[in-house]
Amino acid sequence: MTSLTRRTGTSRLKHVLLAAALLSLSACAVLGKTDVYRDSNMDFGSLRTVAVLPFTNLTKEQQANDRVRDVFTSELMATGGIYVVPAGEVARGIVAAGAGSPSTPTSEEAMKICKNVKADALFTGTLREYGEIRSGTASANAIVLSVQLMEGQTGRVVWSADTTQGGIGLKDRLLGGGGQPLNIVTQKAVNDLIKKLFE
Amino acid sequence: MTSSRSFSNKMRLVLVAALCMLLLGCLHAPGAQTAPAAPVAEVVTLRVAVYPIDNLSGVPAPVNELRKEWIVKLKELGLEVVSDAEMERVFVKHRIRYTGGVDTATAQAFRKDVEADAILVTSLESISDLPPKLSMMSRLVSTEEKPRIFWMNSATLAGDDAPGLLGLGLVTDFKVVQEKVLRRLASSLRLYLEDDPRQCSFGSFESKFEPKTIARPTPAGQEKRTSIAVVPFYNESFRKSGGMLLQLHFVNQLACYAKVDVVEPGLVREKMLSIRMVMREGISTRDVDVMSYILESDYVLSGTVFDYQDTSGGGGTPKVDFNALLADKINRKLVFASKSYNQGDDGVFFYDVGLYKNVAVMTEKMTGNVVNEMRLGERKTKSDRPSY
Repeated sequence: MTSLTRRTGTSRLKHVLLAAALLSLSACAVLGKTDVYRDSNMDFGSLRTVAVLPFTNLTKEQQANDRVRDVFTSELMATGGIYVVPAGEVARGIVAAGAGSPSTPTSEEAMKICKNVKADALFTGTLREYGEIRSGTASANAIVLSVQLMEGQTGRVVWSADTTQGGIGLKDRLLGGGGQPLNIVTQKAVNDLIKKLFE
Repeated sequence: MTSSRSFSNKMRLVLVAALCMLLLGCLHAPGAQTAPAAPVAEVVTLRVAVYPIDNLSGVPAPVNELRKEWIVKLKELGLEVVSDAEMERVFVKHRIRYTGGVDTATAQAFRKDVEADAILVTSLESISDLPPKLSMMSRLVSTEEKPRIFWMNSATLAGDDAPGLLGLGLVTDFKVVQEKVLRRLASSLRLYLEDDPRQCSFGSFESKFEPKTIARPTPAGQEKRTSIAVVPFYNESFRKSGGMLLQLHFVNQLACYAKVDVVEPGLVREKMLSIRMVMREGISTRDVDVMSYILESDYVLSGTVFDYQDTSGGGGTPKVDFNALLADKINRKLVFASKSYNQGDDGVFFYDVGLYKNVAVMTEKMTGNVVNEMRLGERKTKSDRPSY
């Protein structure tokens, strides 16, 4: 009788542990997907030409948004899959569309801009962190960027993702050195976003 | 006895070695004197108007003195230089104020009024006294109906470029640096005048200056001969005239390709002013259309400069960051796009080996790599100068 109770207790414990493990795994799975939104009805393969609007700059670094936008444009074009409208043409399209806030257009404005520059969709973005961050004596470069894709026909957001790259790691805390150069960190962040777009 | 003899022998060897090293240091020092340039063997009777130096350095500079020294070097090559009085007369008569390039009207004025075959346009990129530093770009532009670039080159030197052992190679006298820079430009012009095949050898392409991203969104046309107009780059850097400097660096590189006709920057400026073109954040498709039409060029090269940062007072690290976009006239799309960024200390790990202290040298190498990636054919080995 005692052994039966003990066996039941052990099997219960096993069940609880298994359930906990499953829960933690599923939690991880959900966490891994939360930074990407993808419209399941959108045919991303139909996108041939896109425009990249100026990014919103929430950092204290002047022109950081333009620098990141330029890297994003170059890397996107370098994939060979999408043609990116030059920044000068986008600026002309924004003026012609009369967009009040070029970095955060409304659906109507997004449609107008796409029509003006003959693009299938447009990217908007927000730069939340760019530059050196400090913690105690350690410092490193970091970037936090989120990007959205708005479809040209309807002005809907069909894809959205964010990324965080750089920051102070164990190596920086122990050995110092200031982390990786900002250009490298930016390129990594942009490549991470592009990977999320194409996967 | 034996030990004292061997000691003195060793001492002698050490002294000889030190002397040799000292001599070597002096040999590579920027201040090392070289023989004055002899006139070109087959003297080309080019009558040249030497424009006042266009100061793009952002700081006050003794441009008149520089120009005088430059004219001395040109005369040594056997060139006939238009006198200052004659040039002043043309400037006043035709109300010419811009000396950074040659447009159609200016070229015609110099041809008709003073019978000049070419105009030498010189731009001052950077200048400083401590440490002495000088960077200049010069180009010889024809006075034909549509002015074209015969020759172009740049020369840059700083007194602390090659400090050598114990700083023996440091140069503190600006005049020495100036002499060396002008002599380099004169030597390059001499190679051109003599039709030397080495006239466009810029040295090897260093991999660290290659563009970080390259895209070829649409296939480029396979023309036998290509004409490219380079517009001033959109300047987002803190350096005044950063966009114009990048434009000149690209023109300098492109002018060395055998199958490329680069439109003279003065002509580009003239047309941009005539159609009142304002570029917002770079060139648009409409701008490409208009520019390529009025300049009769197949491609338009533009871009944005984000950083053009030089060292100041011998400290700091130069930094250059830009993108380049080549747009095609026919399909009105980009055929080439690249992104380049470098710092002077890129790839430097031990004792400053490979350290660059000069933004002009870095930009020359970076633009050279970008143009090389455009696949425009072979570099020039013969000049396209018509015989006068």
